[in-house]
Amino acid sequence: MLSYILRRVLLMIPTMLGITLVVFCLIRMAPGDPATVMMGVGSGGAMTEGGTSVQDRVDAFRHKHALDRNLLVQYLGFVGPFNVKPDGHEWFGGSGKDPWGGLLAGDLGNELQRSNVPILEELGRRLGVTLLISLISVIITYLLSIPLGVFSAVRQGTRTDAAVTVVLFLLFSIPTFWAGLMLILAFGKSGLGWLPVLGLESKDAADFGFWQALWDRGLHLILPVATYTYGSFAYLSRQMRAGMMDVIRQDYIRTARAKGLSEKVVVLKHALRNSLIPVITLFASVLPILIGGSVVVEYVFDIPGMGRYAYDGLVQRDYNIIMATTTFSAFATLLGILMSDIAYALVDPRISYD
Amino acid sequence: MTEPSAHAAQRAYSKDYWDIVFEQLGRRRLFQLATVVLALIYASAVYAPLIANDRPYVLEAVDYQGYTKALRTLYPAALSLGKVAKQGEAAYLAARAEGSDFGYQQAVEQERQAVETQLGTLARYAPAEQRATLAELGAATDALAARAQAGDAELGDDAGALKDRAKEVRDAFKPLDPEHPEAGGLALVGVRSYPLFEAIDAWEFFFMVLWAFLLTWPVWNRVVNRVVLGGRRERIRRARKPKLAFVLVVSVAAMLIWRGTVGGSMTFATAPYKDALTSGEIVATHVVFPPIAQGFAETSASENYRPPTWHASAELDEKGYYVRGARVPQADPITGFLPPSVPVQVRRGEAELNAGARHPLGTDSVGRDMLVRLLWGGRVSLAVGLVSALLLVLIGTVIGAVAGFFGGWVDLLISRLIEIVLCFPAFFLILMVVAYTDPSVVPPIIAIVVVIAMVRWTGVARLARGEFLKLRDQEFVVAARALGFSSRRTIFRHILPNAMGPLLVSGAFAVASGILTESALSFLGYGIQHPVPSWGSLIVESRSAEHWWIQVFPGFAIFITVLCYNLVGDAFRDALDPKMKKEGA
Repeated sequence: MLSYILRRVLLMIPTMLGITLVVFCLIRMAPGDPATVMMGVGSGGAMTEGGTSVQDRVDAFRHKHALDRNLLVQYLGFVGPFNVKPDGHEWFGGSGKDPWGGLLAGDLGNELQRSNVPILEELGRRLGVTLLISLISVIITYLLSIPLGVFSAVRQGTRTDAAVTVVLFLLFSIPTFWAGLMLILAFGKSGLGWLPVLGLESKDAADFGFWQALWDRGLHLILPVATYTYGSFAYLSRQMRAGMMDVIRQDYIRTARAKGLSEKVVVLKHALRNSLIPVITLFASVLPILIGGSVVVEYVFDIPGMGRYAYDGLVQRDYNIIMATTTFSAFATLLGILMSDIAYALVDPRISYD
Repeated sequence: MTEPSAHAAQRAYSKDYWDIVFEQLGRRRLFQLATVVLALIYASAVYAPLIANDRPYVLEAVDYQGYTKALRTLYPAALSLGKVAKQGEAAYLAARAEGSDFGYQQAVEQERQAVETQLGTLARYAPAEQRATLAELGAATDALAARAQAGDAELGDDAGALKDRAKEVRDAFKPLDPEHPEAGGLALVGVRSYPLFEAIDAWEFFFMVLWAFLLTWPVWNRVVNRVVLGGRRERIRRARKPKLAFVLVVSVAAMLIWRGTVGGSMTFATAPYKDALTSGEIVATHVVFPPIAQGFAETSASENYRPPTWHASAELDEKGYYVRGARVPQADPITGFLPPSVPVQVRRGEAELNAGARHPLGTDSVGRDMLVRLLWGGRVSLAVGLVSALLLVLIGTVIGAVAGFFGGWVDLLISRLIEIVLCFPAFFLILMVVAYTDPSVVPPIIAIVVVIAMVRWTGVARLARGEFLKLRDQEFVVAARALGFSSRRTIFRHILPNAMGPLLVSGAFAVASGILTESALSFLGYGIQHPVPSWGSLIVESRSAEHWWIQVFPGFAIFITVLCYNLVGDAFRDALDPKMKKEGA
């Protein structure tokens, strides 16, 4: 088992390198040189160094961010562990003040516009927000969809089952951003006026006591969590129902029934456990969304999470933010796949480790 | 006597794969419903120019402004020609402006053309029996000009005669004013034109013909099967491909004919017909508008953000002011000044001010009708979904087939590649690439289609790879290889048809996801915006909750389409699944 995990982890290394390469190439291939983009931002306000002429400032900016090095060196600077900027490692002609950098050194660079904000810190802050929402959403999803899937599989062929299937199908087909907009219309000020629709807390949240703040946060979370949840809930319930129906057809279920066990015991003890395997491992595919957040949902509800951060990076043309968020969520997916394989191997003894 | 043999044929018939699949699908009510709804949605997109347009189907109209202008200009033009002719070449050259190299021949020709142009305009609208007079005048003009150009010196009398005749024509051809018929005059004849059809491109016509075939398929297919093929299943099966070929050939032929005869194209998104008809610039004797006489880009500044007209909040009084809500004109409490507002104008062909059908889905920020934009927007959204899915299945199938068929290091390499692409959050990757694509170099619609296909092919590739791995060791493939068939032939002729089912299913889901992706991209502001909208970009017209109709209806269209595709994909998957077949049997 341990050697299996180790081999899987080692196999991840080339994939990780591939991911960094893809991210790097995408950003470098993109039209619009970062220096030129920064010139446009606040009339080059972010470019304070260099001489008075535009070209001097652009050159200084490019030099400072190592954009004037060749692509191979730039890629090395992105992956690390060397810092290839002017204040970086001596091997790359730097001053040696700050020799390490790049992903391997845990350095994602600073934002371009707010140049004193390290992206790693900001990422951590955003991750907290996104994790909170998506964890709640995942827990609700599993709590609802497993019983529902079992229920409709057991009632297979009845009207209830048909109704549940249709409703799940409808939910599954609703566009996420539209669902968010409709929820805002229905529950926001223009509709019933029950719930706040934007952001994570009220404007005067700073003055609230603990319980009041908690209540406020809870109210703000209801709509985003609902938007996050309904799709995966529909998907997971359908998977659960299908898995359960697969299992119910098996011979050992017939045997269990033939033994005279009650239907309850057959379903809950014999069938449910085995049908849970594929659903539990689906958790791994949820993980990247859990970490990366949904750009659309966070955009609709104006939530300062990871997805929103990535979108903002795109709007600001901040290549550091884009590279950081993309790499981060790709790694999260990779981790999810690994965890799913390990979980599968753990719970299903039929899987061989070879 | 033919009865028994037909029965024998029926008995000997063995169902093939597609017979079984269609039999399975035929049992699913929801699938049939979804197919019908999808066919109608696509029809509404394909026929959008015929359903909702600001160009009339048929317009028989008189351009009164143009006619009276020609009438006014005719006499001076004739006078001017006469003057030049009388002058003669030498006098002309002496009198012409210094430094000008405009020759006498040219001058005469120009004057002649000026008269001819006016005569042409008059002849267009004049009654047939009066045209002879105009033709005579034209002949006289030509003769005079020809003689002047030949150097004839004594033209003074002829020039005078021409002038007089032009004067006669001017008086005789005064038009009958339709508003004051008692004043008398010439009853003008409208000229017939087909503005709507002239704006339809050949490729649009191709899809219209194709879709007409598809919509009527249940009818003509049955007729052909019964009458031509005698209801014999073997023959019906053999006729599948020829039928498809026939439909395609006819559609392409129709397209070519259209290009040759009408050769239409839409140069401008909006047409001036409605405005001109309303203001009386042109007067129609006969005009037929499409069911919804609104253009997709036709604005109406005074009718912006109007709620659906069946809704109480959209009600206007007879002057065109809002009756309810925040937009009721309020007099200033101190000065009593009522801000002037431009009342809503009902243009020719449009529904009444408060009719429910005027703007059933409301209007957007510049008063464009949402229903019309929804119909036209469907063209973009549906096309993006369909084309991206086609491209994605194509890429995925080829790559997956290569990996599964050849195995070894090729498989290893491709599997790694798939794994890497799968690691990225697909939507954000698409968003990123589209955001970085310069819209002036690559049009957003093409960028979106290509990027969706290039990011999402991995699912299909994995599926195809699995199918090929499963099939490549089966007897029929081994046999094909033993016969010495090339790899390409083995892959495409022998394995692929057997692996087609799951790929088709994933294709159906890919269309749904393509539509969703495009709309989400447009919603985030990186999608398609002008001139024809997409469903996603319609929603972005307003994020304000006040304008609920802008957010509700386009989203609903997306929802219904995606739902239908999911239903179709699901039904296909079940029909192709051997487990379900056992259950059904």
